[in-house]
Amino acid sequence: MMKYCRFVIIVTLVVCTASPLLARRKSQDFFLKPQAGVWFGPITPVYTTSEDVETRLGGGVFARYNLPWAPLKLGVDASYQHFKSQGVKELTLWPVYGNLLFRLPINLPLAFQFKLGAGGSSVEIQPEDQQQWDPLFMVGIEGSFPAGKWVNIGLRIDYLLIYEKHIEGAQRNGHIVNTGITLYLNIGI
Amino acid sequence: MHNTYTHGIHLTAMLAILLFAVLANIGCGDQPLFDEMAESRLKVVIKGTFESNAPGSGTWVGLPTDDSINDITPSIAAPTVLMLDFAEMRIASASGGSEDRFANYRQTYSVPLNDSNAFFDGTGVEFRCDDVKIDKTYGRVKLYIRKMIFNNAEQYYLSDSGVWSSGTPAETIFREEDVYGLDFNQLMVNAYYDSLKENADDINRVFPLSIPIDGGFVYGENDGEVVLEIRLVFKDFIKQYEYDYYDEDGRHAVYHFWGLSDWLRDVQADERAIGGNLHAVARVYNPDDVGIISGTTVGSGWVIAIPSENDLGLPQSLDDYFIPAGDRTRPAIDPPSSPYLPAANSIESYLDYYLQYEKYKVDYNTFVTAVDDGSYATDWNNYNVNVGEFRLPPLVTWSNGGAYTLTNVPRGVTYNLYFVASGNVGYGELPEEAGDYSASGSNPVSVGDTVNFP
Repeated sequence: MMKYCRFVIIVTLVVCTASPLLARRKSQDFFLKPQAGVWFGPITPVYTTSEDVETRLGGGVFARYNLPWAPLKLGVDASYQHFKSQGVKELTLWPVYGNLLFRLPINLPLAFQFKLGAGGSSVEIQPEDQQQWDPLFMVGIEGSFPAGKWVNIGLRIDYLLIYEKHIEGAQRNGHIVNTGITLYLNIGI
Repeated sequence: MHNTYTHGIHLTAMLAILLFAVLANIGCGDQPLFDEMAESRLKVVIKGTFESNAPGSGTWVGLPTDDSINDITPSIAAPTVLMLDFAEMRIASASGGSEDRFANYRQTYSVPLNDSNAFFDGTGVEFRCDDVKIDKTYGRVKLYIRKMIFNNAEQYYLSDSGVWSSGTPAETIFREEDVYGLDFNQLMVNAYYDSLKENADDINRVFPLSIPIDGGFVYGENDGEVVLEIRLVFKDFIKQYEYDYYDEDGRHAVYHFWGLSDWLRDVQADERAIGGNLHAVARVYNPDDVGIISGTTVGSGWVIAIPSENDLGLPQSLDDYFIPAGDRTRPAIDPPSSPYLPAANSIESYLDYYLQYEKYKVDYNTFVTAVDDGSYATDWNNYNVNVGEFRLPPLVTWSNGGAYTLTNVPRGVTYNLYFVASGNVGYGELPEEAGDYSASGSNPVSVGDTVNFP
């Protein structure tokens, strides 16, 4: 009996000690904090846009904010993308958009997020020297892992559709794929 | 309370982002820029004729032979196909600098030699290009020519006994495939004058071929379609040449091949450089802002129009384009050609060789004297300046005697018109400054005028 009581006391102590620890781990999902970061990598024109300009390097900044529904975040993203061709053609984009991010509910250190967004993009072409803003839609996926409680490192692939077919007589949209390394911070810890 | 506060922040952030997304779409443009980028309002057209429109019937058989043919004289069949391989085209300022790669597309053409082909009927073939920079002043087009091939070239070998073999068709590669013919473009890299210079290896007249744009070219932001017309004189300008070489076994061999007439820069026997004889000019017009000049001629010949004022606003005449016949005459001082051994197993051949070698030494001494007193360099430099002043006029049409029409003549400037009687210019020739043409008494004339040549 004495042995049984000693066992119960020990188990109880362990459970009582462990529970707050487990609860603390749960509450310290730093990924749920507001985030801000940068990305950098190849920017690739695809489909009809690839007939005119070529792959270059680009980059951008972004910020994200949690929604009350844990897997969802809202983000804003801005980047600079300058494309050249083998001739005189040049394309400069300033995509600026908001997006909704859905984090896959996987219990792993890695975080995978799907992104869906809309916004606008400044489009400038050379040698015609014309510039205007166009509507933009995007879809993407991103994987990241934490490097401490402040920093996340990840990879992202985004497809940007710069929509021009709403213009009378237009035959083409802009099609860009952004792939890049991303580094972002958990803010407000 | 805290919960309500947090949700308020969430809602505000969400609304701000959505508002941002909506605002980003306000003020979107109405120009299809990706279409604009993909398509070109500039159109490049290449013609193989001296005429800018309505060339006359060409001569495609019975073509002349050049005096460079001195080893053997078999006749080869007239060419039937011209094969052209252009690496790209660039556009530059009048000095040739500040160039833009507006047509960086390799394009090849296989052109049958007849009057009905677009390359020779005055229509022209299109060269893919992009737009050029807005409001930039251009004065030259640079055409990077990889290959120019006429078919029906033959190769001959001299045997040890001094007998020439029968001809075998020469082969080369075009569009990555074996074809019959000789790529004479490689012989047009240097003009003969260039080959006399120490820096001959640094000179290349076909990669690129620098083509002046008559009147220059400024592309305005609101310009519609603009045509850049380039003319390369091939039609009625073909001639047979002989090219000497020694193969890897030391055998003397020759090619008989078809190239472009050496009317401007004469090519003589045993010379390998035939460059400087591809004559070209470019001009620009807006198809929505052109008209015609028409009239009649009594006899057959060419009607030529040039702007009555040059780029500086000074009056000009056709004398500013063409050169006197005397300017084409080569200087008499030439480096003597070294002799060769025609038959290695013949004592007579050796004796001939040594006899020629003695003459070669005497000729060389004479040549050295001309080099030392400076006359060699002076004469050849003057010759090169003189022939370099030859230009093709921007507007030319053919008249069979009767009505003629110059088409696609840009409005807004006046023109001087001239008539060149066909009898004054033979096959493989172009008009000369003195005596070949007569000016219209109506000069200067405007678009829409009727100009008759009595």
